[in-house]
Amino acid sequence: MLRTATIALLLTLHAAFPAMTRAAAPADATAAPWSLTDLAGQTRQPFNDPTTRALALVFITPDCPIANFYQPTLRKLGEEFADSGVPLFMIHSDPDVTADAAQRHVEKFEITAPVILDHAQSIARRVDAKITPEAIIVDRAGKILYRGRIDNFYEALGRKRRAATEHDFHDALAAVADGRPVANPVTKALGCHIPFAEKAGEGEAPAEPRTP
Amino acid sequence: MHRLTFRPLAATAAALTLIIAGAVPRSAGANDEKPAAPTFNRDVAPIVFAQCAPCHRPGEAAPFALLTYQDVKKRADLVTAVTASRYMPPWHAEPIATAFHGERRLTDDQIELLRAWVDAGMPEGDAADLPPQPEFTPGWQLGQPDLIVQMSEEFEVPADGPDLYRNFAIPLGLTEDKWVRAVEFRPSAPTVVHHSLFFLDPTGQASREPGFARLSFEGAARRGRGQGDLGGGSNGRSLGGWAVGASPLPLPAGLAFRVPAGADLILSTHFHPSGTVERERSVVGIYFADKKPERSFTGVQLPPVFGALAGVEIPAGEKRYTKTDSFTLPVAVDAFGVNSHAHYLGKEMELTATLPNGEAIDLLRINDFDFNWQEQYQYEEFVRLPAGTRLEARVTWDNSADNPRNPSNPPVAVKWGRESTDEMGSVSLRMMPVDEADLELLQQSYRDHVRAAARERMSQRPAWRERLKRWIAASASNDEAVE
Repeated sequence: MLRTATIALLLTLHAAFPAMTRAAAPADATAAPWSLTDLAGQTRQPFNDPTTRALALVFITPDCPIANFYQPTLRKLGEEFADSGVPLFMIHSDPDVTADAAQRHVEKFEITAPVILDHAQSIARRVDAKITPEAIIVDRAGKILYRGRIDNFYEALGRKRRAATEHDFHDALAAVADGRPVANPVTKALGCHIPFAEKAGEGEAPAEPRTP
Repeated sequence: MHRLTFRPLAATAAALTLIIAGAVPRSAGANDEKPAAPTFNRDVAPIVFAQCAPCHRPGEAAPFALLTYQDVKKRADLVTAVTASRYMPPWHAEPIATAFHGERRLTDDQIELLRAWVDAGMPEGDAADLPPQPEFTPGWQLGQPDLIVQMSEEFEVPADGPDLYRNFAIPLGLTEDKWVRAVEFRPSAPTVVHHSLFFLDPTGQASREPGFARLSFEGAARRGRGQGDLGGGSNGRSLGGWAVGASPLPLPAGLAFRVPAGADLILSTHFHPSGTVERERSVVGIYFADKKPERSFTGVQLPPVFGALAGVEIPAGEKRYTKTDSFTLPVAVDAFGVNSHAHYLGKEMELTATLPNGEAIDLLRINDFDFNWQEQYQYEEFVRLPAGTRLEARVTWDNSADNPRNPSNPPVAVKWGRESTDEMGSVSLRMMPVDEADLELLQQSYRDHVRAAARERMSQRPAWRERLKRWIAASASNDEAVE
């Protein structure tokens, strides 16, 4: 009975606020031009550059061990795809992460990609990111070309392989840089949850793959 | 078969509890009565303070603090997800009738309560309900150690790559034999140190051997077999170990390890890279007993010598490969600790006792063994096992491609050995004879068991004669016995 009421409520919400629901979020990514301000205060509008094919956004938090573990890998990816038309950005969507804390994190983990503070969590909501680390490639039209993990080194929280055997984010970057479709556009990101200021809806299912 | 009797009962009880717990809010909702939603202060804080905060606080290994309502509210989604999957708190032994010391395991009801709290919108509740902030002892948990030693130099843990296993030999500088009742381990870089197993090299050879620390994995020193096989290996005498989240624990009932003069301490440490280069220089505190303990303990490992005599040959792709071994206790004992060992393919560990009256007791059950969590389990109370009790161990390996920990992709056939791509497998029970005078009979009986296993193995593989002789010699001096 309660369940029926909940479903009815959700349906009402869906009708009233379609932008809040998961399925609608990626389309919303077209709404505004991308403007990203890094820790140094430099504002970038990457799509002003006509050679920019897509943005690669990786959501991180300074205290997420899995997100931190991937920083050396992300540094290498940043170097490999530096001039590929898919610029890489690190996004902090935890409102509690101060600029100072983010700067210390940059130094400790030798992060070379621009780091963006997303205190309003608008970037995370715009591309529907929920996990750190979660990698998202979004094109000029707002289409999500890739969403998910960096690679499959982690099989589950606390369960690692000896080495990654699927390099999904790398392969997606390579495909987008070459103008090819991404073969495996949705994988499951594993790690910590982005702490949204208010619960944005359903909540409990962590890191289920979502359709781009 | 007896040992199966109480398990379905426990499972049924747990399921019933869940059904009841789940049913309450629904029926209450139907009657328009507000169910009492759990609150942080009354319901959640006691769980978090007891089971999360010991590690999730500043300066400890866990990545963020869980000490306040705000801390937990902010991480609520993560907390419910990782408790539901039982990734957190880290605890790998299934619950058995006997409680383990420091059991960091949430009950099904506690996990359900955390979820219900999040579903209810994470109410903070009445401030009067909030228990006092947990107090933690700074520094050495067992008080000022009698001897403090440190790794002779830093070990650099790289920023990324697979997990690392390294042995470090530390001379203890003892000029006379000592009795050790506890060892406390303090990592200097807690974010990268996952666990450390402590061993003794009674000869003091390890610290004199250049390059010992560089040897990988089991760290078997190549020369002087029978003396050099140390970390995790067959005859390094165990002094227990430490893993993330564990608190140091003295042996019970005044028991102690004998540490001979001139011995080295070996730390067999597991590191997991954190994304940035870290440098570890562990500090170890050692607590001595004043005098030789009045009581002695010994260990029974099944199958013996970490499975070396069991003919472990796991075909490539084999999903469930099992070895069993059993041993009947000739005397009454009080069991107090249990641990198990395998490498990456280890999947399930089981040790049961069938008492002379037919009653079956689970002593250890691990359904998803993880090489990274080789914990030293100690029972909260002695488990009395009468003479004639049959101990039965079962080790199961998964050498299929489905096992994400499988170091070989595609899987290859694996035999017993010391390297990371070899396998071992055994369960060890630590026990004190009820009557001190029975110690020798108990040890002799176990040695006979090892010899019988060796003879059987030798009859199958005549060429192994020399190797087996060494292992038998090793096991006779091994078994963690007080001498």
